[in-house]
Amino acid sequence: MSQESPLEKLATTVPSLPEVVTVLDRELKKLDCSPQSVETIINKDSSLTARLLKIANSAFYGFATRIDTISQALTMIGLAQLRDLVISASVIQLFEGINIPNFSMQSFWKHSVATGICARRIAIRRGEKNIEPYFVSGLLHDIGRLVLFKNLSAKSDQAIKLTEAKQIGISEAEMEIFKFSHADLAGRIMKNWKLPARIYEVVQNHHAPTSHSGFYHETIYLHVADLIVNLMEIGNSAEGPFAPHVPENVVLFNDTDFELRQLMEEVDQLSHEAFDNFIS
Amino acid sequence: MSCQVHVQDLKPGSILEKEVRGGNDELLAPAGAELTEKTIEMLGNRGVASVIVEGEEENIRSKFSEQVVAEVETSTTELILESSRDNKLIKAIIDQSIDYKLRKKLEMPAGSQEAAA
Repeated sequence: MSQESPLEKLATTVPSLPEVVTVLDRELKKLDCSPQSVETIINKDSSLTARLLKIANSAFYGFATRIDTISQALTMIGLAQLRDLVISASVIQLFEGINIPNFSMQSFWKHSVATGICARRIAIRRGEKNIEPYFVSGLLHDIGRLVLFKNLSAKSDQAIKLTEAKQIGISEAEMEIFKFSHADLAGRIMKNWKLPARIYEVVQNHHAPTSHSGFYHETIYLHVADLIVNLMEIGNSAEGPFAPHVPENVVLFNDTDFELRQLMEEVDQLSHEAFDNFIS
Repeated sequence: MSCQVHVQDLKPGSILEKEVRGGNDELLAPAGAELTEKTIEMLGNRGVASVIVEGEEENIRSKFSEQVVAEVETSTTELILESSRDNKLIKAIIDQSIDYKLRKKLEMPAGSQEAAA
């Protein structure tokens, strides 16, 4: 038997996804899966149901009609997308009760929610149809930092100091100290959760998108969203100075200045409401 | 001339310079439409942050002293490693973030900026 690596050991300190996600996944794989059966599963968790309806009725979606039931939400949002939304709405509770000195959980989740929103809005602007995975990967892109801070706090502080001393990005600093980065760790956690590769690979590469990896565009969107939210200073993920890797040939906008301004306003406006809906 | 206006600052009677689309890319209001109170309310409800109307564009940096602008410029630019600042998109993002923060400063009453950060 091979020995568990430090990365794997840390990854297994994180609990598995809430049961409702597992039950829902099992249901979605059935041939006779129906909106009614999905609604029954979700309705068993009344606080999750309330949260989902609140989100479905918020500016996050901006639907014109009111949504009062999960089956209505399913019609509007779609099965696969609702499943992603269930993950987003229930995963943060796994990290509740973590207390890290000199580290604001509030600020951390604010950064995460805003990054998810920003990545999702970029995807919408680029005409993508399946946009919920962008929010999930944005929301979870830095959970590796949380797990590192919680378990190896002194070395994590050392990594931040290294970014400043050597003028390198946080991932490089972490590679020097831990031999893996917070992005690798988050990717592993999400792989253990059996999330799709489209989500965990994007998170794993979010500091260094390369055209050799799969999901290149998805990764670029997340990377740029992370950069934008860092510069807007919405929340904070305690990473030190940001080291962007944006290839010169990447075109994300038609009218860059104008679209960036709109995007930042959208992120600003949607983040506060979404922060209340997803976190508290 | 056109200018970008927050939905909450829109006045009835303004003319849309560009069409407005919602979160699912559906058309909410066409270019050339004259805004009514009802349309403005609808745009807010649909999560639209700002629209382009006919009028003069204001330069946000001109509303602050050189010193304040320079402070925001420095603190924002320093968030990025020096070696990676030389890139068109990154420069644009830095620039727009500075404008965004100045606009936020203008919206917020003095003294409340710390609490909101």
